[in-house]
Amino acid sequence: MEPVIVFFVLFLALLLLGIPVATSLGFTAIALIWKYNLGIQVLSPNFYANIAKFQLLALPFFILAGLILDRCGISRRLIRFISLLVGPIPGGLAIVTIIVGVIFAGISGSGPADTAALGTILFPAMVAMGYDKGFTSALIAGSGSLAIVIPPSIAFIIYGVIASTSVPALFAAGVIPGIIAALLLTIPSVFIAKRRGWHGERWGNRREIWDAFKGAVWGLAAPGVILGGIYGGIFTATEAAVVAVFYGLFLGLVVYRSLTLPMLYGIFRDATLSSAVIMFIVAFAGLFSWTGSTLGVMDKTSSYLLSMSSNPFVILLLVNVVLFIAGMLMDAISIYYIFLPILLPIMKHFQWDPVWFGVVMTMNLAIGQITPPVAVNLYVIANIADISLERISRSIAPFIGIMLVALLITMLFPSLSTSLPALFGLK
Amino acid sequence: MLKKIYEHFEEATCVVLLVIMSLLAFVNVITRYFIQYSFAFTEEVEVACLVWLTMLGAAAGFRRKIHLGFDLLSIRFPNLGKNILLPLASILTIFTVSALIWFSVVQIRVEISLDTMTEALNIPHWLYTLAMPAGGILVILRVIEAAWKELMGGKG
Repeated sequence: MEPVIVFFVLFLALLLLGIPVATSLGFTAIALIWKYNLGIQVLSPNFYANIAKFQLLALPFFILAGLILDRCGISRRLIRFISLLVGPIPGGLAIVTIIVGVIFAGISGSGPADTAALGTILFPAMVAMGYDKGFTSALIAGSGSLAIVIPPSIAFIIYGVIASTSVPALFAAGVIPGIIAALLLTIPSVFIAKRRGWHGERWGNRREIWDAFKGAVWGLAAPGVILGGIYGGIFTATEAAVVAVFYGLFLGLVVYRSLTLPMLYGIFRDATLSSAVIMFIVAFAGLFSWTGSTLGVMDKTSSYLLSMSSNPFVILLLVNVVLFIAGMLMDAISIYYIFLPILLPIMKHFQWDPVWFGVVMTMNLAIGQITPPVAVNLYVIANIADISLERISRSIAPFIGIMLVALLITMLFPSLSTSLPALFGLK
Repeated sequence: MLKKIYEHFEEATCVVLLVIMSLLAFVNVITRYFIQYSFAFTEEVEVACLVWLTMLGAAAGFRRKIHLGFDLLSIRFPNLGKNILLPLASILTIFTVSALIWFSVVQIRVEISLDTMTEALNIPHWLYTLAMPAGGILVILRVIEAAWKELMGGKG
């Protein structure tokens, strides 16, 4: 049988049977290395090298920073401050969710983490105000998906490593498309809220707003500290992640004094577990992708895709349809490792800007995080809200739809992605 | 006490590793920024810690069943899931990780015979490579433990 077919069919079969993603990738790779005599000794050094990359250190640090900043009480303070500003307008708390989602996306780089940070506080608050549980869950998951488009972003770090593209440039490129997506998210939210009669409480008076601002200012400053450091040329992405960790520790231990030692242990433990689960996939996905490239599977697949049309926009649409379907079934990290070796030659062929394409791909995979059946953000919020995945799935459609519009805009106007990196002189 | 150590050994070790990594990285930012000096060894140690953290954390992840997977089939058909898919997943994971252990031991033997040293600290490189077989054994233990609990749990 053709190696191309064995390669994809075996992996897909294992995946659909519910074998853990890391195992599906690793087993397929090992089986093919063995069968086609690619030199099985490569297994150990390849696995090691896939993890041992300096840029990947940013991953556990950003996960840790996000957890610390969430649990030291910043989310709660941000939500209070923004609520007082938004006041009694229709869909008030829905708009608060999206705005805080954007700010938190500027602190954390992971969709599920952002969803959890928003969900633990906003879900009970919104349900108490009469919002529908399904709508609320879907909205929170949708806002959480902004986390990987708005910097910092774990997805961009992985893309940068595989496509050898500058992570700071990718971070800058995600800002405008991310904010456009956030603005678009408010449309279905306000529309549905208005029709169902959900609205915010009241405006805050000047004194309340000022007090809330004083509580929230450290959180509002956090994205500035993280991103300002990178674009001021002070830190690399990895260093910025570490600075964010210590900024969070400073807030939790000195300013708010809300973190205790057992809490810190829990935060560090959760950060290591989340990081290890991702890195274990990274290690085997790297091996999988090496196997595919060595067998020529990746090249063959990209020439096949290229042979389907000579129109770059047709191919771009086709690629995005494939990525969207993949995003329904798989996690974003594996998708980067499996698809980028196929897509890089296509990008080169059409001379697509790798930074812009990174934003397009990441926006697409962000939608994948809220598209059932496999949708990490929906799992997280279903757990917090204690409602079924089916119920959220019924409410998620308008948010998926509007995010697809954001994706289309990102595809059609590359300058939305490339102008900020150019402004900062990043390539 | 022993039970607690047994249950949380990997997680506690990972926490220590992440604390070390964060401190090293932070000290390096500070010294580089303020006295324009950066320690060459920090990057090497941080990266090695990341490999250890990945392997130990992966083991803990199997105990807690937090590894990502497509579980629609086993949710729809719980019997199929428990009796066929779970054992299959466990066996394939054990096979995959066993292969990793086997060839990392081969790599370690080569490194010992060639006296391969690390670049910055100049210590034997197999101390870093060891993360794969040592962590791999823990992964296998945790996979068996989790599968055992699941299979037994349903009967009682």
